[in-house]
Amino acid sequence: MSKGDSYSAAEGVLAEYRAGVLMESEGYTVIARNVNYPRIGELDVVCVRGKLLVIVEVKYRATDEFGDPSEAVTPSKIKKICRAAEKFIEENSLYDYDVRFDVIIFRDGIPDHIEDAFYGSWGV
Amino acid sequence: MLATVRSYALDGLNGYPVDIEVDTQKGVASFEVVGLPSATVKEARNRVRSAIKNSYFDFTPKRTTVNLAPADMKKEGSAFDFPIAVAFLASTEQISDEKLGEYVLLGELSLDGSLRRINGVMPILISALQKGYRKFMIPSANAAEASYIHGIEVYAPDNLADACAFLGGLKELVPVKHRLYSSARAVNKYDVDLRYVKGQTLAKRALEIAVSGGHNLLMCGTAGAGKTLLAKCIPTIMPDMTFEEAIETTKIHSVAGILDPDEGMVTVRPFRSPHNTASLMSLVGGGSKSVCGEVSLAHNGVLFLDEMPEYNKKTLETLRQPIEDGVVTVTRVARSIEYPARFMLVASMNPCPCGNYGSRDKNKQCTCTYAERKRYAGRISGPLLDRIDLYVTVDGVEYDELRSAPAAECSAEVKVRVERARAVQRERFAFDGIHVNAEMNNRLIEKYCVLDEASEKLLAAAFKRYSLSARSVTRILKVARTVADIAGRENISANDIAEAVQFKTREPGNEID
Repeated sequence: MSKGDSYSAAEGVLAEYRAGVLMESEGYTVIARNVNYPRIGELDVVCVRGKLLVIVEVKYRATDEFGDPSEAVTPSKIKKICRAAEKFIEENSLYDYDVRFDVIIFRDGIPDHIEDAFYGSWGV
Repeated sequence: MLATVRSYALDGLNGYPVDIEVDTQKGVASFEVVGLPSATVKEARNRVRSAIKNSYFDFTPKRTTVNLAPADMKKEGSAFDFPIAVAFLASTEQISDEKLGEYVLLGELSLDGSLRRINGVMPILISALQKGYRKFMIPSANAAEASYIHGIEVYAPDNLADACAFLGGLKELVPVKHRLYSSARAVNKYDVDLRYVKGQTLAKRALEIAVSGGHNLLMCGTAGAGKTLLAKCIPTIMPDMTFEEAIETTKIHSVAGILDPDEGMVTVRPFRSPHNTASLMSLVGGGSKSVCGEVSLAHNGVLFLDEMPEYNKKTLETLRQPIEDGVVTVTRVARSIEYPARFMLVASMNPCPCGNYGSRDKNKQCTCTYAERKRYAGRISGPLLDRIDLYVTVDGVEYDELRSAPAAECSAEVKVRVERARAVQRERFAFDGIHVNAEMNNRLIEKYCVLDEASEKLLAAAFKRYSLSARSVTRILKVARTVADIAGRENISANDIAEAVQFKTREPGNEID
């Protein structure tokens, strides 16, 4: 990352925005962005379609230097997302929804939407 | 929603029903398997997910819990994949659960949704039938095993989609056709025959007696004399397996996973010859899963121990109990399982470490000392030797004998005599609960081995001359009974006793020249 961290962080925000746009274009309604629960975890994009709640984790990488971005979703990260999702469902009383976890990956600015990327408990 | 599917699991050779409950709820997606699953069963969820997706069903994430009841029995194997998948589809209302309750489902899933062969179908079907289950769905690769069991209706779909279409009434499946045992019976599936064993008249006679009466046999001879070839011929002269015997053996082979998938049934008597490096567990069974060993795989057949003194002594000694009882109880902390192990023990050994003792060849004389020979023979313990009724010395054959001797009697002819001798025994022991002479106890020996004056005298002389033990005498009487049965004589004659004595007293290390 020779171009400096600030630039990457800006790109990260942009990527999250673009992920939201992508989800809307696929017919989902974005209901929250960047939900942050300190010490529990955070959710990048939350959207719904019908009775399905989709939690989207956005990953981006400027280069392949650090491996494929999809590898950045580690078991501990999954755990954090799940805990945050439980909290979000509780706070907003969304008990009546099926919950799916998606990952949107940006490789050189090109998005790749992985539906049903992981499970809350699968014993990874 | 909740859905329940009935499946079956094995505990040793006996099955017990397992209820597979799948509950899907809204919430954070998860897939948990509970009910004491082993690693294989836990991995089912990966196969189930892929199989469902690749069968074009919906696998929308749900909070899914799979319970295998009863929860206190450890579940092994991959046979639960198929029922779990079907239960999941029913609980997400993708298929109707109307007909689910009628069937017992078994099968492993491949990632593409097709059903794979599983182990232990035959014993499961038999014990499920006894508990009153009548309708089954199993992988098509297991259909052959199921076809011999009457009174049940078995469907064998190729894949998950077909099975679901059938359960939903969208597709018809034809139940597996019943086969008759007689149609599968071996005509001649052996690639050896006594006809090709040249010379060896005495050894052949010993084989015939051993097989007729179910006696154990030890062949002692120089290297290359033909001991192994003779042993391989034993199944060819043993009586055909009855349906009950075939079922018993098939059950064990099915659990062990060594059943021929096309045949679906063991129709040829097993001939097991574990190498002399065999471990104790592999021979009698054991391990944390209490699996069956070679003695059980040889059930209703022959257990052949080539080069017997080379086996681990401790391993050999464990054979004493199964030889006597015909069953092995494999006990571990987790469970204790009884496997049948009624086999005929056939062993071979060299007379001495160099292998040439007693050779007729002038150029191949034994170089071992007396002490060496004694020590070699002593590797087989007295109690084990005592359980062997017939010792026979197998000499090397002369060249003339090997090349020019007229074709010997073929196995089929010997088998006829064996069958006749067995028929005599069956008739005699009809009310005694045993099948062959070797199983006689002292009371029955008293009853059936009555000696006339001449034979009594002969036995008394042998007793003195060879310092026989009381147990050896009973063994001799049993063998004499068999010899008389082969000849079709009602009473034991002096000749029969003489033959039995000479087979019993030639034990290795017992030098009588």
